[in-house]
Amino acid sequence: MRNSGLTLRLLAGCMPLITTIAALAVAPPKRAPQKPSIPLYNRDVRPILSDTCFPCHGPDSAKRKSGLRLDIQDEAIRQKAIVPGTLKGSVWNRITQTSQDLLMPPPGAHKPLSKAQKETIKAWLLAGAKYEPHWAYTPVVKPAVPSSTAGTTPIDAFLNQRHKQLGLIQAPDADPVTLIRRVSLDLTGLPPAPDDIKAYVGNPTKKAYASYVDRLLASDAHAERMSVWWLDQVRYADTVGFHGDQNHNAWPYRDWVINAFKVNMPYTTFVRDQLAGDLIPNASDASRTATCFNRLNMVTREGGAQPGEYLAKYAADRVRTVGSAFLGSTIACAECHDHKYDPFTAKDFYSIAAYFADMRQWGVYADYSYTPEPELRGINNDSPFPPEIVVSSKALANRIDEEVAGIKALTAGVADSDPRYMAYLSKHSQYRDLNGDTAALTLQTPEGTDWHTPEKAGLVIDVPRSAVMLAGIEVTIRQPQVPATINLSLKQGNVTLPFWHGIGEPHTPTTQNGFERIGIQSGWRLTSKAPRGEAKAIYWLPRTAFTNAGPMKLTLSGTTSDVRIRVLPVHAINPDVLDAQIERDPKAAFLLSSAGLEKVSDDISTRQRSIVQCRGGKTPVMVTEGTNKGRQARILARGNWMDTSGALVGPATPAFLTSGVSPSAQPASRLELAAWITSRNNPLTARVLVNRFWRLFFGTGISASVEDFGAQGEAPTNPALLDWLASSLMDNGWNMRSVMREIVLSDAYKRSSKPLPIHLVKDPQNRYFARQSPRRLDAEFIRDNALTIAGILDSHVGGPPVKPFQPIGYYANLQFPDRDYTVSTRGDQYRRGLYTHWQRTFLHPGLAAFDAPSREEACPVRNEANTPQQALTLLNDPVYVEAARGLANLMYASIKPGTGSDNARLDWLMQRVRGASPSGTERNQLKTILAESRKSYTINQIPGRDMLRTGSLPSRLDVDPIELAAYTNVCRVLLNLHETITRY
Amino acid sequence: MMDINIHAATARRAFLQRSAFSIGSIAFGQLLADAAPPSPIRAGMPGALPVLHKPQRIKRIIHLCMAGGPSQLETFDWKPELKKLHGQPFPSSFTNGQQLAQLQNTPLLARGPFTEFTRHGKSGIEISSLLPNIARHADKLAVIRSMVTEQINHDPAHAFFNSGSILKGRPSMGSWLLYGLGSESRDLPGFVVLASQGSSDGVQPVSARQWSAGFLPTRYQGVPFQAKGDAVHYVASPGGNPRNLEEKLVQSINAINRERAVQTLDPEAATRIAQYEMAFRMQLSVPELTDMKDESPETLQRYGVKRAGDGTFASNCLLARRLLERGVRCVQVYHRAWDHHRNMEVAMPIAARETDAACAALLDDLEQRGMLDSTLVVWGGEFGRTPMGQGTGRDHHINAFSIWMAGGGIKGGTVYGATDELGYRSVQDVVTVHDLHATVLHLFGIDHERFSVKFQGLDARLTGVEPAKVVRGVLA
Repeated sequence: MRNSGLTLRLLAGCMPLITTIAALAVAPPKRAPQKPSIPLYNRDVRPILSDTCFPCHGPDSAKRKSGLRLDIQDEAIRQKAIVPGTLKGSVWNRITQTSQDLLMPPPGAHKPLSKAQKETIKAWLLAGAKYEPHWAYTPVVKPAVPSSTAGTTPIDAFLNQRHKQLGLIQAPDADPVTLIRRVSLDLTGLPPAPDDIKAYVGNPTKKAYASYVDRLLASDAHAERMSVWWLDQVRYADTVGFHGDQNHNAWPYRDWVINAFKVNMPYTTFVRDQLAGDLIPNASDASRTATCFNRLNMVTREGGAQPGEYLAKYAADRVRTVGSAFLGSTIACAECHDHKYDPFTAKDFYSIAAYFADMRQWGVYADYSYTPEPELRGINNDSPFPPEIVVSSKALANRIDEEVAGIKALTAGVADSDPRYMAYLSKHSQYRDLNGDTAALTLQTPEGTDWHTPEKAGLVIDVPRSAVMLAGIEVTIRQPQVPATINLSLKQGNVTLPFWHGIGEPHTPTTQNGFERIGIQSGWRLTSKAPRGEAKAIYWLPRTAFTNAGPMKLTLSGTTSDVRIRVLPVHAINPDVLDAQIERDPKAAFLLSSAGLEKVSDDISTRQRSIVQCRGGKTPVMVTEGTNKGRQARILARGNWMDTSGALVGPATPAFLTSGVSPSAQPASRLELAAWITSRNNPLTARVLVNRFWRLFFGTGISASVEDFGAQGEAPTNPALLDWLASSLMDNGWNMRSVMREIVLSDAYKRSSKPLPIHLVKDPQNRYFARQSPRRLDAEFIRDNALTIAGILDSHVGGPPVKPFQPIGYYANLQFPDRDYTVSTRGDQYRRGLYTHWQRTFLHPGLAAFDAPSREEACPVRNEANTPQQALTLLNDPVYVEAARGLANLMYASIKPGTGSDNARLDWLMQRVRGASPSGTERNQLKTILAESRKSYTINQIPGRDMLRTGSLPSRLDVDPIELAAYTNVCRVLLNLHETITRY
Repeated sequence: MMDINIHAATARRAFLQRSAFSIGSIAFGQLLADAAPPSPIRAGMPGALPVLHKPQRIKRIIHLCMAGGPSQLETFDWKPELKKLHGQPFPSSFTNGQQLAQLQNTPLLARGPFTEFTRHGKSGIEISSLLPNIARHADKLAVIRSMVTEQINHDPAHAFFNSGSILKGRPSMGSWLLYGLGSESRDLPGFVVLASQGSSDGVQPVSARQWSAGFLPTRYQGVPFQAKGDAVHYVASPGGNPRNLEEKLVQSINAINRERAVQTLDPEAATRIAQYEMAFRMQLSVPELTDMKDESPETLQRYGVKRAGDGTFASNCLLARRLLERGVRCVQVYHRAWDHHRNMEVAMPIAARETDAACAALLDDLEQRGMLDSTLVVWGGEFGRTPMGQGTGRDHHINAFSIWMAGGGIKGGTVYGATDELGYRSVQDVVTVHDLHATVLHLFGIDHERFSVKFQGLDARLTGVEPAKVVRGVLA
């Protein structure tokens, strides 16, 4: 048993109620379940030896004492540590010593053997001291499915057999609402739609359930849910993690992962593309995007960092991640010395590192005088992290299409016969030919020429009243004197009219916190490398300005001569096109220029801005770029990067895991590493994967140690089931979705999570799965669930990370560069938690409170804490206050103000939140809140009104604000319930 | 040995198991009533250590973290020989084969200290003119001049100083203490972090991993208090909803959770009730804590506070005192402007001025309240600075730096360890970061070798795998 007293003390903050519940449920047992008479090595003996003996008498040759090793039977017998069938060997002698000097383990190790442990060893020695190969390192052989009644799934056949052996009674089926909520939350991270609950409750058949499961598995939401899991395994984040924790461009990789789950990519391809997608012949942009995986390690740009030291850190990080994500192994332990418990050697560690030695990378991502990196000249704290490629993004392309459609819908709303539109056209008759070139007015110099000579301090040019309308300014430089920076500003009277967008060609873009600045509003840069010849730029105002509203002056500053300036009277529908004469839409121009239509024109501007932000559907992404540096790594004694005395090693997989795997073609590359990982003969990969899937659906793996399949890990409680699942995965072409489907269609999955009394006696930890287990939702899904219930989740898939509200000043301790936090607008405030900007050093506090990992390091399993900070988050984080208001709005949309009773409203809300009506207690409690809120807000309305202003979601205007605030409080209670954030 | 395993899912079932085996039948209704609000939990959160390994000398710790790495050569390690060598090439016999940060690939010149040193107190400890107020307390201090660390860049050096490891996901010392000893405060977090930027050159970022609970459950992590907005994230009710209404809300949530806990037999639902009670108490106590109206103008002046609650180091020191008074186990106060690569003769006096009076006032107040005997105060940075100049400043240095400790169990007026004549290398009684951690744990009554948690198959310790020693020479 891996858990002992202190695990329990960890939880000692829990309150008496828990003990009460348990005490109530079960009569205290008289004795523990019977132990089998002959201890088995893997299950009973190895855990003891591994923890207490192997550190000094195991695989680590450097730390081995007296040359004795006990992890190999022949060695133990040869050295007379063990004499099978007797107690004559030195092992028994030493562990039963009374002399402190002779006793093993030595008292200084603080690992005394308990009486029970000694008994186990004794029984095992006497029974012949049989060793078994470690379960996780033996080949996966598909076990026969135990015979069972017709219709039993193989999973249930394996489980039923074990339950029978153990005398475990199985929990009854969960009720239909619980089940459908469970499977929806497990497979998609979202609650079921009310209609789906209704449909299933009306027809709770196996067939209906299976077809619902299939629908969930095919959904985008499922792909997103699985991505949350995978992104933990690979430590995905949007920032580099070390020191200044700058942004890096990784989100297209996140979208690649989502798509991989969406198309149910075989795990073999999934692994290959991430490790080695760049090495596939004719590699696609998609598979190259996948190689961002190799770039997700933390990196630094800190001044004074030693490149060699950091390259060693990066290499070690990659090996740890390969070990953790694919092999469920703690190879990390072999960085400084041979592994103490498992047969990984330090040579294995560096041999895996060697696979990645060809990557183009830098120890320090900047060019400092004391650590010059000429290739990185010009890079600053705002720069991205090379190498990158530019790829097309479906999310961005979709966004552009939506915004264009949105603008079209607005212009389509303008009838040709609309008198205001007709007036616009006739009033500005000179612009009637909107597709022509004649409309632009050239601003001449006092001398009457077209070509101005700006001064460094800025040349001021009057815009004549005759220009009438000003939508944009075109600047042409006949022959720029490079390098040059040109700035343009516009004032009407004393008011600055800011340009919202500008484009220049040629232009050398600058970057801001990892991203290329869009456009030239903040400065048009022409470097000395700019091609010779005419240069041109256009600056756009968000709305048309009129010269009759006051005198206008342009200020042009720059260091180049011969500049022509033209006033563009009409907006282009696509502001990203340099030739302002194309793509004009007179109706859009009308909407952008007419008084009284500000709301519409704001909408158009917002959408245009959004289109521009999408950069034509293209985005940079960090990738792996191979070089011909060769693939070698040096074994670093004790992990010390300055010690260059160690041997150089080439890429190789751990020898003890390689039996049966045909030697790869030389030279071994990351492709071969991927092939080895997903080889049928690799004993770990498939087992690790199915065990992690199992955990997603039962709360615990078949082996609880999903992160460690080594000697210190827990042996699976149903090894045959684990191996059957692993074999099935491989037989089905590493089809991940079919394994998950198999699991959620099992009877075991569908059982109630309420323990029977006998469970608390025989299997309190539910290690044998005779029932389900309740699980608190992951951080992201707590948010997603609340937003879905409130009807405000924005279900767009993919795209750049978003920034929901977060406490002001949360990034105050970030520097290089200083960081501001601009909250996302429109639907982006209500995206799924998965898309939240993942700042490694300061993760969004709402996610961090619910144990989302910082992803500085691969995270195979999250903590599941239960803290006051979680309560504060659900009570007061603006997103949950908004969600409560959204839910109240939604209720009023269904039960209109002035109709229906409080009871009806509460019923509706409870149905919405958990698919069932409130109990008596619940109804009373909610009515109390309603009454207290009304009372409080009747005395003083301001707090309620202010609460309704939290965030930006509008309140329904047809509801009395006191009532809406009161119901918002009711909804806050509902969103805070333990049941709401738990799947039962 | 602490054989614990951080699998929440199995752990909570294990709890259920213990409950089932150990409690027997207690009147359910009675216990349910006990759980009903308001049911203040008198003690805070209990710790994981059933019994301490040795006598406990201190109950709480405050770490005054001079982030960026203050120069020992201008504060606590007076090197007249270095002053004589000022501007001359630094002897390569010292530096050959050693790590450098920003001085990589540049000629190395000695830089003499720019501050004066005088002897203070009966003990006559030499302290620089930059820290006149701390110097007043010379006889309370144990100055360690022979600190070394393993990490030469800020980020990993902070990680190492806080968690004893550069691997991510390792718990910080505060989290270890909270885990082992629990919290005495029932309405405030047991581990609080206060960070201020400082106004001089040489500002360094700090990261939440410096107070991370790592693989320990989240409840043991440091809780940063912010200067702007709510001190604790989400502690304020939305729209200023009245206290009594919010209390009703929490009561309703708990009443419903209680009913469901019984129906589902889910122990987490029951735990959740306690967490809501604690959260509500925090909503009451945090504003009271951070409202420093009751501090006298004289007090503010002693600390050097211009405006209470302005987020400066001085104000944070005062806030820290209030936290310690309320039973908080561990407080870290950061001043983030000690990275003086250049312009140090201007910048360092500013950083010193922003911290010196507050540190001294804190010692005064703790003493005056009778708390100094049971509080450990630690002052220092994540590393020191080179005796070689870097233009107008100094580079990072890991072979020698100085820190001081004061308070419970500490032998005041002590200088421990020494560096060579140029201050390059700690040569006598070298103290590693792990030694420092072992010493802190020792003062709390914990044997660092026996304080471990099973993580990924290993017995992880704050003090790592290599032998670490308690620094007896600084103990009373």
